[in-house]
Amino acid sequence: VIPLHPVELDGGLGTLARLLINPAPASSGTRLHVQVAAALDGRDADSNLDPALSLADLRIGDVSRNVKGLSEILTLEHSEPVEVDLVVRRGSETTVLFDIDAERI
Amino acid sequence: MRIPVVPFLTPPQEAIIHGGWLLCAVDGDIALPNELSHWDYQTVLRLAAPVSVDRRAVTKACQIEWESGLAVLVMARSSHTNAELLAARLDVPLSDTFDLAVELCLEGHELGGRLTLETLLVSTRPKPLGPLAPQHPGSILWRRTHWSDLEGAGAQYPTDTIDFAATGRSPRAGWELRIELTDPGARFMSGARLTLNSGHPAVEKLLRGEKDEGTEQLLRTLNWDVTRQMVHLALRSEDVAALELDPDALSVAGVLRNLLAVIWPLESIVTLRHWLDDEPNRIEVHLQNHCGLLK
Repeated sequence: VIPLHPVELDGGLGTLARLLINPAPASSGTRLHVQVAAALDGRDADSNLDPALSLADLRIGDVSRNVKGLSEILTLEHSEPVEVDLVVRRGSETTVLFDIDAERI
Repeated sequence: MRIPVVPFLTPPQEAIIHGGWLLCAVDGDIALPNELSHWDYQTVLRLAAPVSVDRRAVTKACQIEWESGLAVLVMARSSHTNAELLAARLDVPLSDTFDLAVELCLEGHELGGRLTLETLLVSTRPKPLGPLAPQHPGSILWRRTHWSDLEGAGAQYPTDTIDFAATGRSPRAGWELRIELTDPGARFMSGARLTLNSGHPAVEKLLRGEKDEGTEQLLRTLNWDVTRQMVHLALRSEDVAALELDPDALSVAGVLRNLLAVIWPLESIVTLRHWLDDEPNRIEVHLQNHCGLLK
């Protein structure tokens, strides 16, 4: 994860996470599992605490994809490092906990 | 990978420089090591650290006015006592950059296990210039954590090791604590002894300094059991019950009296003795919690 910071969205606030995905050796790509929730103490989270919390946008290069809900699985076929921007819409006081897992495919 | 992201802008890492903690000793200052082998509960730790804050860079990155209130705080946490203390607080002066000399003093009787020092830069009076700026007093803009393992329960007593099987003791036992209370005024350090069974594989692993979940749980269990034995001894002793609290006490009875006060700061010995007779579960549950028996 490179930078993570709050951003302004149309009609609200959000948080941006930029992920740099390096493909595993001898793989055809990466499957990303992303979950977001309101962070409680940095490790624990509550997915119901902020009703405004939702994935909003997922960008790979110039390609943008609308996403919603609190979790997403993204399959990337790549042999070079790829940057993925993940934007989360949230309430004004919410610390967002990103829970990210990557598996080789 | 789990990463929390606060809802406001934070400064770049280079805007705050923590020079590392120094342990202040009679023969000079040394960098705080990750293990303090000579620490015991009577040690007073004096620590110092230089922390440089670039106010201009911080306030610009966070989109708050230059004269916003900023403070450096140090929180000290201790794993065995569950203590969490505000060890230092320094307001950051109204200057573009400022080098703060953070100093703190930690009493040994409040500590045990892993000492974690968390240095925080906090906006105490933020004057936000935009919606992404910190809006509330107390917003944590930056943090840096250091830790040091204080010698655990075993090192708070004269400790030795012996192969229990070779000396006719039960070979699967882990340790033996002996506290001599026939002379309650004798020095605790000469009246107490903890003997570890070096013949037991788990204890042997602990003595080798291996660190895994098993040895960590063993350390927590050792700390709990030793504390529990001392508490029971203290509550059965008329000499301990007769003593007034004296934080500087070095005697066997005095140390046991202080231990009760640390674990139950609001309860009298009379109350604790009633609990021991009528509701011993109350003593036991609190002890398990106090000692952090389970992670």
